[in-house]
Amino acid sequence: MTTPLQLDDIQGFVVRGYTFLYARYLFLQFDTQAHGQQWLAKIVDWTTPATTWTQKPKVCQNIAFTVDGLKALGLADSSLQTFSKEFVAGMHTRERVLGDTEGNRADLWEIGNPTRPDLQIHALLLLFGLTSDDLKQFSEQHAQIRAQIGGITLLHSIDGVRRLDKKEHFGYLDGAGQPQIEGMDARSAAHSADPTRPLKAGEFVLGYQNEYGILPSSPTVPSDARAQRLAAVEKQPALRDFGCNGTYLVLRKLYQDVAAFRKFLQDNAPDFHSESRKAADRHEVEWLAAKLVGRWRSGTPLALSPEQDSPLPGKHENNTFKFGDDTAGLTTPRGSHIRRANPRDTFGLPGAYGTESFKAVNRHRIIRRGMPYGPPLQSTQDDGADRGLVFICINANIAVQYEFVQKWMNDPNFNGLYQNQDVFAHNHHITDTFAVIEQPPLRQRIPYPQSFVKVRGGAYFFMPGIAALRYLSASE
Amino acid sequence: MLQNALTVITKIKPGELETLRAFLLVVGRDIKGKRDNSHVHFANMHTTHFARWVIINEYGAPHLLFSSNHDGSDVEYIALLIEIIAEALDHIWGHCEGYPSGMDVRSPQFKAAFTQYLLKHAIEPDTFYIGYRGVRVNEMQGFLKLRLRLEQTFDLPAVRAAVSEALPHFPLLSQTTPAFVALRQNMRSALILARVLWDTIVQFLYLVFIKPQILRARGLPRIDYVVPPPEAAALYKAEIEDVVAQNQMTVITRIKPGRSIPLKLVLCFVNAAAKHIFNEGSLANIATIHFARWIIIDDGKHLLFESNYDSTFESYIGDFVDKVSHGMNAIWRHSEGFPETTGFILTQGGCNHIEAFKTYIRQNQIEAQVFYSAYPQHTVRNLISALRIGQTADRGALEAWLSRF
Repeated sequence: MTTPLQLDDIQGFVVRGYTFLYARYLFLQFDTQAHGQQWLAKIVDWTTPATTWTQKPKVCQNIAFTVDGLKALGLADSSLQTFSKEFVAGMHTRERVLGDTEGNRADLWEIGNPTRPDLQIHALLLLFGLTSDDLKQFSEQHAQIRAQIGGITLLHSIDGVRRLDKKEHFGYLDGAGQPQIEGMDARSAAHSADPTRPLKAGEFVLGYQNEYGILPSSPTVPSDARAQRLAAVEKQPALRDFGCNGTYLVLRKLYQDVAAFRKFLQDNAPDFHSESRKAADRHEVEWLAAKLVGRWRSGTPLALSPEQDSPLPGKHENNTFKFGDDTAGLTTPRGSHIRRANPRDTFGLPGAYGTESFKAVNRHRIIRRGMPYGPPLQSTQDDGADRGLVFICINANIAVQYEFVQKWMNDPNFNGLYQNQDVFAHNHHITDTFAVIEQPPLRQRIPYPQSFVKVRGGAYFFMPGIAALRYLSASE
Repeated sequence: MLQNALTVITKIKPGELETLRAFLLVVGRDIKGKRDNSHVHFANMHTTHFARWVIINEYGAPHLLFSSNHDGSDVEYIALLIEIIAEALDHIWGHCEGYPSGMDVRSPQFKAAFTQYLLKHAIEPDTFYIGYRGVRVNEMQGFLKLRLRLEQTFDLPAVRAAVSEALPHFPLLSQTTPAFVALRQNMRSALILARVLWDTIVQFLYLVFIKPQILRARGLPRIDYVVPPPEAAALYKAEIEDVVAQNQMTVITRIKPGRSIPLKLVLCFVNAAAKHIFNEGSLANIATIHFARWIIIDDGKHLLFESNYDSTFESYIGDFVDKVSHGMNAIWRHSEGFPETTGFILTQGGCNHIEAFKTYIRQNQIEAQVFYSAYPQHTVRNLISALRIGQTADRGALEAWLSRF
């Protein structure tokens, strides 16, 4: 028996890909608790819930907070300690786990830099618009409110722009491999034996059962007068469940060196031509691009279309395939991006491939909600513009989900590999690492000249349920 | 057995804890012998897979734990240890009670006395898991070098061209599997299960009835381990981890009253299974453990767990919970403070409460001052694949074939 999702309390961004073309990410700081609470009280009603739309709205708004933000809004230390350890410590303290070394170091970040207390982030305001005008209007409305209240500093603002073809700067279709959530998707309980089934809601929303068969741990607050509208905590009448219908949100600003990536493809693609492949150079570049990621740049997985790109199969097939017999990685390389991010039936030892592998992998998934920022690169040379991805993901447990998958990406020894790293890893410099493409008669090993992605900042946020937002905005 | 596990726990002399710790930390920082201030060069021993020194029981009477995974017998290993790290012995065990101090460390008398000293305080593991059974350190390192050479060779354009050209000329032979192979495999499985059960019973009887008598006869001092207070978890320095491809884990938990006998039975079973079933690079599909051991210490009061594992703490714990939560629960449900389990053999809960489980491990985990790995860049699966190459590429046969070709 699955508990139905309380869609009117969950923020819409958590369970729904809005597919808006325009987004603005605003990073805010509150001067005082009163300022923060006034601001939140003013805008909380505009928060987009997860309830099903009869008609797509013109704009959407969602809100999340850092641990500093929750503290600024008056949560006591005893309550803050009930949040996840990684969230409380902050992304900037997780350099070792995330591989944020050398050029990716937190003290160099633009956003969330721990050496700049004046830029300490409290809140993340996510605004979306159907058209750029809609977004502009909504942003102006928000600016007016901030001006009226005063004491709310806008630290940074990033505009996300989804291209009409939904491709990110390296040219790949973005977000092709999103997990489905049980209760949000039509194909549900009937297929419970199917390992590619929608995942338990507790992987992405607190307050529901997760893939371990338990409730994810959820932060609590004292059960005082203003907390009465929050859910009760079993066996602990003195506490209220602040986390219910909330979740953790990870944001990273990732710079993409598009010129360097294109050059890498060009420099290495001809090698294949001389060996086993006879197609035109243009095709070779696409072939290499596909082998590095495990999908053609159109989004079609190699597992379904190994030899050439073909029109995208249905969205469902496109994401429910298995690697199956391809234990050696001859079709989808073992170190390719999608086989690291979601090893599906190939995690662990070849003897244990299949359902057991899915069981493990399904506990380490994230929902990605990011968007590209910056202008597309038109020329072959780098134009010096800042462009990349505002990486955003949703998970109920940062350590077991986001950080786990990030480790899979960076780990040269992932799943039996050696000196092998994900093409988009931001720390190719750590040691000699290669992209390896398994193919007859001999595997191809391509050394990475550099990282094509750099971390420019980020933070861990908590995205509360709407009742919890109201709790935060209410004065005692 | 070719590979062995030495576990030695000795009592640190009162007031000498800090001097010892300071020395070990220097050794730990310099474990590869890159600087000149260390006298401990495990790499020169050629028989050490992994080794560690850990100061335990800081909240009671502090003890020093030394443990190693080595090739050859314990006696041979101790002899080599004396030879290679002679200058360090006084600075390490010299701070422990009962150490034969004031002797010339190069003399045969010292060798005899020191060997006896370590063996007297050595504890036999109840469960011992080996990730790659029957392979010596220097053999493995040879296989790793071979693999590296092959990788470099296969990158050469000339080699790639020659292989592409020559390969199509090789014949493809048809392969059929005779019917009796399946039958033989079934019989083999039944036989393995029988051996696992037999070994479990034999070891269990030995541990319950014979070993206590031996220990009593030897008259060993008790460790009387004191479990650290909960706030100690915050003191565990996670930043000492993730330096090489492996991490070490040393965990001591308090066994619930009256539970040491059922725990012993479980450990005997895991030991037999590790020997007969999980003997090719994976413990129940966990392919990240090089060596692990469980030992009931303190006359049944505490459980010591040690492992040398690949990757991070988070992924190691995650792997355990994903794949063998029943096994984890079967062992640690007998320890105090472990997250509550329901059910008996196939248990629910317990380590599945992954946050609570991680906190539990961190609370009871002890930092190693010194951790040595012979394979700083290689995971178990890397080692197994190098091993497969090494085992199929016999140089004698290759030389013979090439010379007469």
